[in-house]
Amino acid sequence: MANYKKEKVKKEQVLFYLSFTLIPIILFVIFYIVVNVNSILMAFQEYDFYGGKFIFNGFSNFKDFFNEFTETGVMKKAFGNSFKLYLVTLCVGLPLALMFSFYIYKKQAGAAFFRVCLYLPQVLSTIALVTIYKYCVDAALPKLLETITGKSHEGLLVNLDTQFGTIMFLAFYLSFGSNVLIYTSTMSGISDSIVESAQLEGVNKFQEMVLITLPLIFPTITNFILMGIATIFTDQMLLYNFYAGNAEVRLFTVGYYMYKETQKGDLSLYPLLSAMGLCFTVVLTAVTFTVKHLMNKYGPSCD
Amino acid sequence: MEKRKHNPFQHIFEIIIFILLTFFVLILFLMIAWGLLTSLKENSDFRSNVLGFPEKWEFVNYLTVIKNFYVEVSKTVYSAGSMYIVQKRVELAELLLNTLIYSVGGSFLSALCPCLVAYCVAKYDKWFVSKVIYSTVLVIMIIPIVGNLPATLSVMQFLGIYDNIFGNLLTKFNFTNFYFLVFYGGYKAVAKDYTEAAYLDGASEWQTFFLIILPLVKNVFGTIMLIKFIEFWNDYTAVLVYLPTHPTLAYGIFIMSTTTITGLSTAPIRIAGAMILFVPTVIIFSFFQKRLLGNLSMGGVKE
Repeated sequence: MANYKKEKVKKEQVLFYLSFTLIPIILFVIFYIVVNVNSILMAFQEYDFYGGKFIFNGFSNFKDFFNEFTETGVMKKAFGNSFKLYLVTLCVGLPLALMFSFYIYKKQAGAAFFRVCLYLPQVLSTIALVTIYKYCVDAALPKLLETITGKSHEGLLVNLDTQFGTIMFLAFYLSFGSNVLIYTSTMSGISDSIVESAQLEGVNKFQEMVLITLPLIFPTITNFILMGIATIFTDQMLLYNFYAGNAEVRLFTVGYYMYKETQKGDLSLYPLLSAMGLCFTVVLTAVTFTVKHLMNKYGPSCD
Repeated sequence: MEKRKHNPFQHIFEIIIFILLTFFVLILFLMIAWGLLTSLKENSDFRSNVLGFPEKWEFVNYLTVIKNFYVEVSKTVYSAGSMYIVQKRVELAELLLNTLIYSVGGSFLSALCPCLVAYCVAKYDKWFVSKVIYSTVLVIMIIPIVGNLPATLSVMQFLGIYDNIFGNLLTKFNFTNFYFLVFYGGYKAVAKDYTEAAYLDGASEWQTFFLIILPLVKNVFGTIMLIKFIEFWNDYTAVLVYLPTHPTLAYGIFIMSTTTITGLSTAPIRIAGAMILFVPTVIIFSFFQKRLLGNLSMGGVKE
């Protein structure tokens, strides 16, 4: 009798488990496993217009990719720009986000207000913000400078010397609001007793941040750095928002190039794009795991 | 008692962060304030008076956008063995309907899927399948996949859900993301006494989940749904690729901002359109600000 009841309970548990997970797992298999396997296969295929299907063509797409990388310079430029954007985000964005988070966590003057304002760009539509920003930097700012200096100035997007920096600034500006939110939440999990004992030893705010707070939230910092690496070659730097598919080659990022080409809907381009994606995925996976290993090994200790 | 030494560096550090934060906030507010003023100007007024207040405070640009806002899409139709390309005008009402289906449906499914799967994984954490699901989510979050967009498109075309707004919602029913971990942490924190009491009263697994557990995590569910709603409301890049004949409002603003097709191409009108897109998300943000800025953390604090 007891065994029968146990079996019934187990059966109900299995049924319950299946009722909640079966559809999600099937969809995961379709939209993750099948899609990525298809992407790998596509990298070794080409589109046959006459037959209307993809056929195997060996490593030809990879050769084309490396040729494009070394000869036309489009991918090289896109690769360089993607890397520049990542470096700025890492070297400037990360320290700034950490400083802002610490300021808010310590509830300094205006902390609650700044917290809301930092998150606001995440709430507002990017395409709408870009629309306003374009006119701001090309119409309002030159007019303002002209009023101040008496000389006429070119718009920042019109001027080729400032165009890339102006776009990158907005991409950077819009990127770190949610990071600050998560860093602040994690910092508020630090035990008060640790902070109080450090304060009794006379540490100032800067020392508290560098010597106590950052080492304690290091797992979160590691996660953000790893997630940042994952986006190096998918980040469009808002180029599609600024120029749709018509940005100049010297502005390209890898993410923009791949999205723009896919968006054209030309089936014959898909294999080359898949081959590029596969190469970048392999490189980034290796980089991600190496960085993860190094950060775990050489990251700060809390002793 | 020894008086603690005053450290001037401490204040310099705080002042620097305060200045940087003020600069950050000023950029956003000045940009939006200028945009708001510009949206109230006539085009001739904007040309002669870029920085000043409007000559006449009128909402005519907003009315123009509301009355004349449309997106033209082209659809391939096969009939009697021939292929035709049909142009279709999508008016504001349909744009709004598409946006609501996409953002409300998408956000609900995006919150529901991790909510269900994480519960099973957290509750039956000793089961092998739970361990596999948990590890899979962690690995997927780290591995950076680049360039699978063409493969996703071809799988969607194969399944017949390409350019199908309800079919597209299936892709939102996905648990391999950060929110899975948020729910998982939430379920782990729920005391077992609750569920055990329910079982003793004869409740089934489903009753226990829907009547006991779900009310406990409804705030987390609501927060995730809000975050995803804002994301989908503002998203146009996925719509452009996956739903080309089902444009949303953000898609419409993108077309209006980057082309002259709609005839709504003056700066004040484009900016008025951008401002309209801000309204729903700003309202949501002002009502649910505390919830949206609540404690979502990732990675935790070192012990």
